[in-house]
Amino acid sequence: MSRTPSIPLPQLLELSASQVEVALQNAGAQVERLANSVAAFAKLGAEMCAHPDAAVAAQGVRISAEAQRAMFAMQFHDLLSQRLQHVRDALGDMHDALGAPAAPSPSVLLAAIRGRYTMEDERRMFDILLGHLPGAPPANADTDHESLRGSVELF
Amino acid sequence: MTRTILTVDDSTSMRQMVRATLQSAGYGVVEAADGQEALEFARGNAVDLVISDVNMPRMDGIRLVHELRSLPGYRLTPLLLLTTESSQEKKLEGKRAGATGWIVKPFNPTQLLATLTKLFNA
Repeated sequence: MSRTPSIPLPQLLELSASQVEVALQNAGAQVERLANSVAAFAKLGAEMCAHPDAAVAAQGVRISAEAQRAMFAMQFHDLLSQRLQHVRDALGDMHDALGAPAAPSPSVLLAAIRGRYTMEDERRMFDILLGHLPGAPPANADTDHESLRGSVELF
Repeated sequence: MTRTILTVDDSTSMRQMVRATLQSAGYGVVEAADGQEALEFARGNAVDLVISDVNMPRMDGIRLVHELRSLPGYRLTPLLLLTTESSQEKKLEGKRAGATGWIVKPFNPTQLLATLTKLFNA
């Protein structure tokens, strides 16, 4: 009777973490180049805005406005990077837990994964899928993270 | 006189976006990649305002605010935290450390510049 080979879970976790890491590095390098170009457009727009020729200045206003919109949109890469870093680190935690001589308790492992999150919607998704951890502060259920993006609060 | 702003973030692209926004309004910009680097710079240099990320390696933004407030030249300097964190708990931590304000990423360039104008004219 043939036996079904077991799934090489530790290696698969390591592979997945490595794939995420490579994606992060590749995207990071491209976004840096793109950010440089957008910054150059913003600078050009600002210089044109101060031009004595009204037509050039008007073009400068338009370029500045477009550059600002691009700058706002590009910051979503930072949010995406953070989220992927947390996924990569969670995969690493699971890999280490599987290989440890004394495996950590599930609650310790889950608390470590949740503790790395930096966004409310990450915590909320964790709590929905895995249940709220005892002792962990609740994700603010009445706070719409989307609506808080870009918000400014002076103390 | 040109006002100088120290921006602190471990993400190069975020620093580029903040720098481009600030320079378009005529501010001078100095950059640091984490709280430790920013603190080392601040120990020997004064700036007019600091904009810092919260989650960074070596020293996070809240610790940086706390450390900066203990430097004589930074007791009254506006210190803004610019972060993906939007939880009230973290905000309160920042406020207690001595932060002047909290901005949730992604920032709106126009709104950021308006905030700086407000702080400098206060």
